Amino acid sequence: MTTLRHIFDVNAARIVPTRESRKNVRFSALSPAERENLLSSYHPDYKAGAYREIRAGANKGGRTVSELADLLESDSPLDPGMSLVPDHTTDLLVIGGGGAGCTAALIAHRLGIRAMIATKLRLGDSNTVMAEGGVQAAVGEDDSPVEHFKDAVRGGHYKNDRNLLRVLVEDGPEAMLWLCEQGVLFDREPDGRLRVKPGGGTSRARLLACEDYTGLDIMRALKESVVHSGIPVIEYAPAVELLSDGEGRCTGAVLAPFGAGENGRRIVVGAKTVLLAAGGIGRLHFQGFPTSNHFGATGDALVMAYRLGVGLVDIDTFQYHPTGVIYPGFLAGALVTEGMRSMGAQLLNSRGERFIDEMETRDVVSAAIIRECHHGRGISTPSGKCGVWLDTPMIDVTNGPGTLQARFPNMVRQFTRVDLDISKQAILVYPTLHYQNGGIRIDETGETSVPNLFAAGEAAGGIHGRNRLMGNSLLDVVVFGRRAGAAAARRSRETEHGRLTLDHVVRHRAALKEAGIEEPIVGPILVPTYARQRAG
Amino acid sequence: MVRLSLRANPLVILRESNAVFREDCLVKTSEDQEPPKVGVEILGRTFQVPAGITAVDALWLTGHALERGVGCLGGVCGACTMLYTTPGSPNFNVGLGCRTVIAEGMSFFPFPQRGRSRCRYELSDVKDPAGELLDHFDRADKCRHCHGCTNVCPQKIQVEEAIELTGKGEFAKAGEMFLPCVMCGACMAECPEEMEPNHILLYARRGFAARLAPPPHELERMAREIREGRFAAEMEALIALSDESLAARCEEGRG
Ligand SMILES: Cc1cc2nc3c(=O)[nH]c(=O)nc-3n(C[C@H](O)[C@H](O)[C@H](O)COP(=O)(O)OP(=O)(O)OC[C@H]3O[C@@H](n4cnc5c(N)ncnc54)[C@H](O)[C@@H]3O)c2cc1C
Ligand code: SF4
Ligand code: SF4
Ligand code: FES
Repeated sequence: MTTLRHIFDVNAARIVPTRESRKNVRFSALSPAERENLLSSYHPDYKAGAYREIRAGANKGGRTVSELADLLESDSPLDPGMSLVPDHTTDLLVIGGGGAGCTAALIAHRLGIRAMIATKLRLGDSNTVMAEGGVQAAVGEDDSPVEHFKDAVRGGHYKNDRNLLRVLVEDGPEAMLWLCEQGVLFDREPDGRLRVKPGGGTSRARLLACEDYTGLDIMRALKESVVHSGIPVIEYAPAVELLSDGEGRCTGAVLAPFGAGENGRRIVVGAKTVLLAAGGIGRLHFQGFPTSNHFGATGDALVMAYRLGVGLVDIDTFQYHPTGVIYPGFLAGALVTEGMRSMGAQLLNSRGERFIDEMETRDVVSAAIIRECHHGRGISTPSGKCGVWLDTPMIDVTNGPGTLQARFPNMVRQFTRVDLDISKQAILVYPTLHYQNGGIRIDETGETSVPNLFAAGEAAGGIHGRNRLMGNSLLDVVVFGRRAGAAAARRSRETEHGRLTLDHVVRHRAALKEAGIEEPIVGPILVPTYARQRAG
Repeated sequence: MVRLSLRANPLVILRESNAVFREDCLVKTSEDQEPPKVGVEILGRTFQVPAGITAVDALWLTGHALERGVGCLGGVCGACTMLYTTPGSPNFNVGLGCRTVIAEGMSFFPFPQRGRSRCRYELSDVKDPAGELLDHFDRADKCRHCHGCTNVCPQKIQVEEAIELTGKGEFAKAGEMFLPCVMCGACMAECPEEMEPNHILLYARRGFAARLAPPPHELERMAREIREGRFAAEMEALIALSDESLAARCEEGRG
C-alpha cells in the first residue's frame, strides 16, 4: 500500500543525501533552440486541441483557448433597451479595486479629478494582494533600465510591444518611489540599502520585496490611501457592460451588484472616462488547470472591452506558474513563490535528479515539469495527482539555518497549518494557471482604441509579450496604473459627459448571428460556480 | 443574472487538478480516493463533508454560494474570516476559512468584518508619525493588556506587544511584526477599549516606511538618471534593432 508518508520517505532517501553536493550548483542552461523545443513539446500554450478560432469581433480569425473564445463570443446579460438613467456620474470610473485600480484612482484624485471605484468583491480582494515574490526595478550599480528591458524582452520571446516595455522599465524606479510614499516598506539590508533578489530570467538582482508578503503590503497601503482620501468605492458590484455614446466613445458602465438576483437591480454609472482594471482570468481554469488567482479572476475586462470593439493582444498565451502546490489538497493551485528557487530551492524528479535550470523563465520551467511527469519521472500522490519535488530545505542548506523561516514566513505558515515543516520536507509542485500574458491593447498612456476607455494592470496586454517575468506584473500595475490615472484625469478635464447607450450590444449580437453562433453563453461570468446546487 | 457553470462540477477540477496530464504519470494508487467524512455544523445546521477540506470548501459543498464570503482564496485578504468552535473548548476561535481545515465537530459561521477605521489621516500630511500618533488615534494609549487582540489573531501576530512598541515609538519593530496582517478586523472587534489595534499598526508601518526608514537612495538615483536621459540613446538603439539582432544582444553573456 502506498501512502503519502511512504512516498515522502522513499524520496527523502533519494533527495536528502545529495543536498550538500547540489548546493550552489547551477544546472546547465538551455540553448535558445532547446528552449523552443521544450516549449513546443510540453507547454500548455502549444496544446492544439485546447485552442480554437475566434469567430466574431476584433480578433476574428485569431486563436485562443476555447474557454476564452466562448466568453468572447458570449452574449450580454443586459437588454439594450433598459433604462440608462445614471445612478452616479463621475469623471473617472475605475472598474476593479486591485493594485492598478487603486493606483489610478489615487493619481486622478490627487490631480483634482472625481474618481470612483466599482469592484467585484471588497476593495483590495484581488490578485495584487496575493503577490509574494516581489517587484522588479533597476536599482543596482551594475543595473539599468536597459538591462531590465533586455531581460523582459528575452523573457517575452521578443514579442513584447517595445514602446510599452520601455515605459515599464523607465518609469519603474519612479513608480517604486511613489509606493514608498504610500507607505510600502521594502526589505532593507542591515546597512539600510534596499535588499534586492534575483528572479527567473533576470540577469541582475532587482526584485524588491516585503518578505513574501509583497502584494499584501502594497495592497494594504493603497487600499488605506483610497479609503482615507474619501474616493467613493462601490463593493460587490461587478461591472457587466460598458456604455458608449453610440459614436465610438466610452461613456460609462453598468454594474450588477451581487445578490440582486435575475433581472435584479443594476447600477448605471455615467463617466467621462472609464478605466478597466479588473485583472486576470485564472478562475476560468483553462485546460482543467488549477489556479493561483483570486476568486473574481474571470476575465471580465476582456469580455467587456471586446464587445465594445477593442482588440486583444497575445490572448493565445498564458502563464502557468511552475510551482503550484499539489499536496496537501486544500492548498491545490496555491503558489510557491519563485523567490524560493532564487534562494536555492531546487526541482527534482522521482529519481532525485535535477532536470532544468531553476532560474529559467517560467514557461520553460513549467514545460520541463510537465515533461518529467509525462515521461513517468513525476511523483504521484495517493489521490492521483502528479508533480515534482521542490526541495525547500535547500534554502537553509545554501544560506544557513533559519533563512527559510525568516524570508518566507507566509509560505512556512501555510504549511505549518497541516504540520508540514518545509524547512525539513520537500514539497510537491505542478504548474498552476497564473497569469494572462496578453490582454487589452493599449497605448503608452493606457488608452485603448476606443476613446476615453483606458486599461491597466493584468487586464492590459502587450507589455510582457508571450511570457512575463517575475516581478514585472506588480511593476506594470503601478506604472500603467499611474499613467492611466493621469491620462484619464487630463482627458476628463477636456471632455463632457456623453450619451449613454448599449448600441454596441446590438451590434455585437448581430455579429454573433452573422458568424452563425447559436445560443452563446452569457458573459462575463463574474464568479466560478463552485457551490453545489442546494437540493431543496 | 444568468451565471454559467463552466464545468459540471468545478470542485472536482479544483481538486483533481492535474487531470489533463495525470494519465501520463506512472505511479498510481487508489488509496484516499474516498476520504472519510466528518460532521460539521455550519450556521447551526449539521452536514457530513469529506475530511481534509477547508471551511470555504465545506460551505461550497453544502450549497452556500458565498459571493461575499471569499476573496483571494490564498490566505491573505481576510474576506473569509470565520468564527468557529471545536469540541473540547467552549471558546470561539477566529480563522481564515480558505486556510482552515475542518475537523469533526467543528462549528463555524462566516464573520465578514469590514473593519473600517473611525480615524482619518493622509499619510502625506503626517510629518512625525510617532509624535502624532494620538492626534490620529485618540485611543492609542488606552491598552489595558487584556491579550484579547493577540489571542484572536488568525495570523498569530503578537498584536498587544506590537501596540506597546508603537506607544514607545518603536515603529520599525512594530511595523515588522504587523507585516502578515490581513486586516480581518478580529482584533478590532475584540478590543474592549475600541483602540483599533490593526489600524494603529498599519499607521505605524506606513509611517515608518514613508518617514522614518532609510530613504531609498538607490531608487532616487536611478529615477534621476533616467529623467536626465542617461540611458535614452542606448534604449533607442536597442528598440530599433531587428528581432534577430535584439535576440543576439539579449542572449549575450548568458548561460
Ligand atoms: C498568487 C499570486 C502571486 C503573484 N506574485 C507576483 C509577484 O511576486 N510579482 C509580480 O510582479 N506579480 C505577481 N503576481 C501577479 C500580480 O499580482 C497581478 O498580475 C497583478 O497584481 C494584477 O493587478 P491588477 O490590479 O491588474 O488586478 P487585480 O489585483 O487582480 O485586481 C482586479 C480587481 O478587479 C476586480 N474585478 C474583477 N472583475 C470585475 C468586474 N467585472 N467589475 C468590477 N471589478 C472587477 C477584482 O475583484 C479585483 O479586485 C502574482 C499573482 C498571484 C495570483
Ligand atoms: S492583527 Fe488584527 S486585523 Fe490583523 S490579522 Fe491579526 S486580528 Fe486580523
Ligand atoms: S485588545 Fe485592546 S486592550 Fe486588549 S491588549 Fe489588545 S489593544 Fe490592549
Ligand atoms: S479568501 Fe482571502 S484570506 Fe481567505
